[in-house]
Amino acid sequence: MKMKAEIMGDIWGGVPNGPGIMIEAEHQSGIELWEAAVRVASCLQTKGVGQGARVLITGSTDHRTISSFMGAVLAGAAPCLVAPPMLSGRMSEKQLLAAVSACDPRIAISWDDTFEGLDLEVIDFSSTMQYEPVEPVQARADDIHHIQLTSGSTSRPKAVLLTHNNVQSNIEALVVSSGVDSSTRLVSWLPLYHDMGLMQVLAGLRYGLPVTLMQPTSYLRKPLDWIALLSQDRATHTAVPPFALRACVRSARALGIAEEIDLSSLSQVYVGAEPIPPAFLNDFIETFKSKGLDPSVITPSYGLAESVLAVTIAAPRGVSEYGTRIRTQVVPEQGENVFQINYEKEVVSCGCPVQGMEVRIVGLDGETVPERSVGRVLIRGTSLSPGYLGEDRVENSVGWRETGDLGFLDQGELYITGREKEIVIVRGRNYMPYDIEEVIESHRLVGGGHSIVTNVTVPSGEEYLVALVESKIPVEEHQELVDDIKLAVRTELGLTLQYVHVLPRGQLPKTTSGKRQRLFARKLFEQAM
Amino acid sequence: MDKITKEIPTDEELLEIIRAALSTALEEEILESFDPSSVDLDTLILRLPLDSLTLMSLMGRLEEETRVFIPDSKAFGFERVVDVTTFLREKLAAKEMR
Repeated sequence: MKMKAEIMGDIWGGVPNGPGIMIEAEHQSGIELWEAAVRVASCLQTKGVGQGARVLITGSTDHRTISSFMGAVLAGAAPCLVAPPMLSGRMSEKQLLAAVSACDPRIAISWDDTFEGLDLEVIDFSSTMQYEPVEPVQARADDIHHIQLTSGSTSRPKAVLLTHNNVQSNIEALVVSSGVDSSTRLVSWLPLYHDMGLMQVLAGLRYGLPVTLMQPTSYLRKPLDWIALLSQDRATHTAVPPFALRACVRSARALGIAEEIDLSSLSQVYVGAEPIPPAFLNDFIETFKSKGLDPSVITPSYGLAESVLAVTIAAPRGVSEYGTRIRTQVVPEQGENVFQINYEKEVVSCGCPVQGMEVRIVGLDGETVPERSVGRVLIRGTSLSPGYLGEDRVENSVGWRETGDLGFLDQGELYITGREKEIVIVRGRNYMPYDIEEVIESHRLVGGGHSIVTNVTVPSGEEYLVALVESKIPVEEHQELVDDIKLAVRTELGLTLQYVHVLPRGQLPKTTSGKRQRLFARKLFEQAM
Repeated sequence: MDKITKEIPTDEELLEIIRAALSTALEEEILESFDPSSVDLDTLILRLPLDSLTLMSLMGRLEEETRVFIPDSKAFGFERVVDVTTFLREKLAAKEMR
């Protein structure tokens, strides 16, 4: 059966016969991906999985992930990519269970044992090939396109609903600000269950751009392999969290950069997904300048899962110390420091709002504050999600939404200075502090309610994961407890606590009602550094 | 192919390689409070200040040094440093046989 072009236009994005996707030297054309996706859609429809039904899919970097995801979209269902078990044991299992409970899936698609043992119907990907293609469902703008999980949480992560209109708007906004043309080539190592990784693929499919993916673990093993791939593929666009730039710099210092590396084809390297330390950008530029890297390609940006991906993107402007898109400034001081901001911090401009999005900064009273005043960052616009699964849907693009971040505007550009929300960010991924506290408090010398986990920004601009713990044990036993706690967190969650400080019982900062004062704890740490 | 005439390295030689790899795989801030030379064959991998990401980076470094590929599932399965050196020696010996 033939597919109608306009339906492809609506859902797939107009170019099913695009150049397709290369993953670790294995290529699938747009048509191959499309044909597999249509069969997945057919299988889902046969099983009665239709509009709005959640389809859980293993988010490994694999052509089958992409076809399954697009197949679910074509069936009118709402796919949700989950992190594949990290191989590190307990953590992944808990995380998967949390994802399942947040997403409440009708069915799952897999080709490995990710979903084994769960009370869930699982479609084996290879079995979908026996289904005859059927007509994809016509999607409306407000229908759910997919679901993005917000954190690698072991407690309940939030399942962000994203509509076709949201996704389409944000892809368009990205394309407008990226200057995409026929020479565009995308290269990415980011996992597909990460919004930044997924959107690169969706934009590639939508606009028929060649995309090359490398396995996230290949990147983590050898960051310079990503650099080599950018060079070899003549990549024009890529996106990474700032920690990835630093990893490349460190590898380059330790191992040297191969002679043949040439980064002159790059036109944009998006940097986002976690706070951006200015030094990381500068070091990356310094390290790779001699390899043809144009400083103006480094593109700081700000976004969140709730806005599909991008809210603001830095645009080129006059030459500055770091390059033409990078502008930094020290946080402007203001009279009453109601948000407890560290004023000595140098912050990077994340640019102006992308097409369809708006940013507003408000004070404690909810009123808009003048430029260069720090306040709560609010957003609205066409990319903004209607809400979370299991909660009431919010009317889209009408109301302003709190992001939980703090910042200021200067000449319309957004600078993020900190955040009020309680998440901690580790290498571009969000975690809930409670999950980590739970692990710490399972130690018999700590106990329930006797720890606070938070992120602190150290002078280099980086965020450290730290814990304050109170315990009755004598001072000379503190070090042993610290080691045990670090070990437990690493074992259970695969995370490293940079600092653990032990206080005598009763000294943990808490409100009179016994609530942990996380922001106050953060301030204590920042003052101590 | 290079002509391999080298002997299979001993556990101690591989331990040196692991210590050196740690000093490049770990971030400067971590190295301020952790001395890679304190690592010995009996050290628990989970006692090392590695998270799941820096563990992968350590494996990458070891791979570069020894030309032995360490699969992800292996990398997350090692319990002690000696398990890593044993794995590397076995692979190197198997290579030698070919």
